[in-house]
Amino acid sequence: MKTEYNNTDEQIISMLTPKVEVKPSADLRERILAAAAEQTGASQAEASQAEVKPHRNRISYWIGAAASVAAVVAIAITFTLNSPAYAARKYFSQALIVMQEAKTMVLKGSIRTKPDEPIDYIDPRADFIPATIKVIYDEPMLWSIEKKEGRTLLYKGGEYVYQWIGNKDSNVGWKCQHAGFVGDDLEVMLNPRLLLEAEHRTAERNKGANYEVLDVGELIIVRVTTKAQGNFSESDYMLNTSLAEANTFREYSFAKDSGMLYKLRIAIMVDDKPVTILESESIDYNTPLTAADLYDKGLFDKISFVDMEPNVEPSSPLVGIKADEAAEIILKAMQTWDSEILNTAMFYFKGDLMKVVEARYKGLEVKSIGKPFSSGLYPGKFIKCKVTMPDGSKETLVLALRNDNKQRVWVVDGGL
Amino acid sequence: MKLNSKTNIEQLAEWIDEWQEQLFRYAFFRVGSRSDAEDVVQEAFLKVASAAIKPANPKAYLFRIVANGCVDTLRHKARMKPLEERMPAPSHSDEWEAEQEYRRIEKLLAHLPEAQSEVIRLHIHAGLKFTEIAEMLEQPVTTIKSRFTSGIEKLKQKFIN
Repeated sequence: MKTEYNNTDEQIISMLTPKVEVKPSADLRERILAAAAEQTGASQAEASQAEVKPHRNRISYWIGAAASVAAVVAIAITFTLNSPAYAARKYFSQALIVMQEAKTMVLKGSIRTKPDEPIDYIDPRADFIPATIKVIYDEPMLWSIEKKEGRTLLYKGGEYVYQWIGNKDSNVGWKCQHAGFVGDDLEVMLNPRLLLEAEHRTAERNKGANYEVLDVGELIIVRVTTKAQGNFSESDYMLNTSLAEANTFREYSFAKDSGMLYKLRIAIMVDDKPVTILESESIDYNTPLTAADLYDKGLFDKISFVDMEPNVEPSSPLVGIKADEAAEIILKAMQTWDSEILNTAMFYFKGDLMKVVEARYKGLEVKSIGKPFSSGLYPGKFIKCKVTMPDGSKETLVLALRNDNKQRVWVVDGGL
Repeated sequence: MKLNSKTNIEQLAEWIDEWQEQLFRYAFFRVGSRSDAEDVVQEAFLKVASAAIKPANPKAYLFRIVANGCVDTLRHKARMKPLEERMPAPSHSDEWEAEQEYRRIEKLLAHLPEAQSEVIRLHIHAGLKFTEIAEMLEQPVTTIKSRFTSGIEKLKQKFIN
């Protein structure tokens, strides 16, 4: 039964025919066969009782309290080929499905960071600071991440994410579209549901991460070891400054009965030793929450949020030049406090913050400007600059400049 | 067929070699995501491998499971959409292009009833013959051909005539 097509039929069929070739991953075949072998293996194991294996020494202390309970008999589930990733993905997937039913989530925990630093900033030498993540799974989803007496990040629907410093009586905050604050995986890393989705995808692709799955009493523990993201070939300046830019161990404990994420712990490798950076104390689902539990309604009267996307004339002297040239122009403008240049270059420093910077840096003298360098995931450049401060003291500033805005204008993003 | 012998693993490997690309292509242009498509295909092979009775027509059986798996995945994704939108975009340009292509074709097929668009997908994307689609969907071949031609005709009216 041959079908004849006329020209217009052919046109439509051509429109419906994919113009790109798609093929399954090269390892899909192996993954399926490994999973199939696992199915068989599992039934055989049931018959002859599961093999009991000790934890690996390298990460044995990761098990923490659970491992210290002598009665716990941990079964390290080992698989062939890519099976650990497959098993990990299964638990991430299960937890995500269960979480679909959750209306709210409140995670209380602690992070090694500094209260005033950006919300994604981590420091393995810093003390733990309490942090709370609240999420209302609605349409749109509402969430907030709050460092106690420090920065808060808020999404309340719409196109912007808002950030402000809670411990200062400041009237300035920042707002930007999602890609800005979450460009470095912040939201993904700090929101368990998004984190699980990201882990699920990583496990699916099974690249750049190692997995271990443990069956421990009432819990299934999935451990993920990942490499730092970003380019550190020029400098490791940004290494270990955010979770994405660190070699990490991530440990997820899922309740066997419900499939829910029960505990989360993230450590980074410092001098080949893991240092816990983020640890949950409790994860509660379906706690009654309203928008008022996430932010004060008077917030937007009290704080003026600066849009993180600069809007300047393309004729600015900070357009079309190199980063070190921009650094020199900006620092020299600080000497005489050239407001025309500085209002553009220091777009993110509005109101009170600008006054603080002016009081500290007005009148400085530039001694030398270093070579710009990139590091990690930072989209801009860093430049080491030696300056003599207005009080005569010598300082080395590491300016962070970026020009990934529409006008390609260099603006100061940090280092002051 | 219970997957408990070397022969059956070999049988499964043969089926994978023979049909995984076709199944994947169909699944990808149904769900628009490499990872979801691979998941669905993998589950289908595992299901056919663990089926109590060897299916008479494993190819039709696999396509039926994949088609159902795609529908489930799309339902799941519809509920997840606000989160998915916030996930980082695929960085690999080939994958991005493929996803754009998926969106382009889905926009065209959105003008058709599901029964017609499904036959078009199975014929054009999966490369199945009308007789194979008929067997898979347990419908007469004439019905399948009629769905296909009606779908093409509707799109012609909309986009050419």
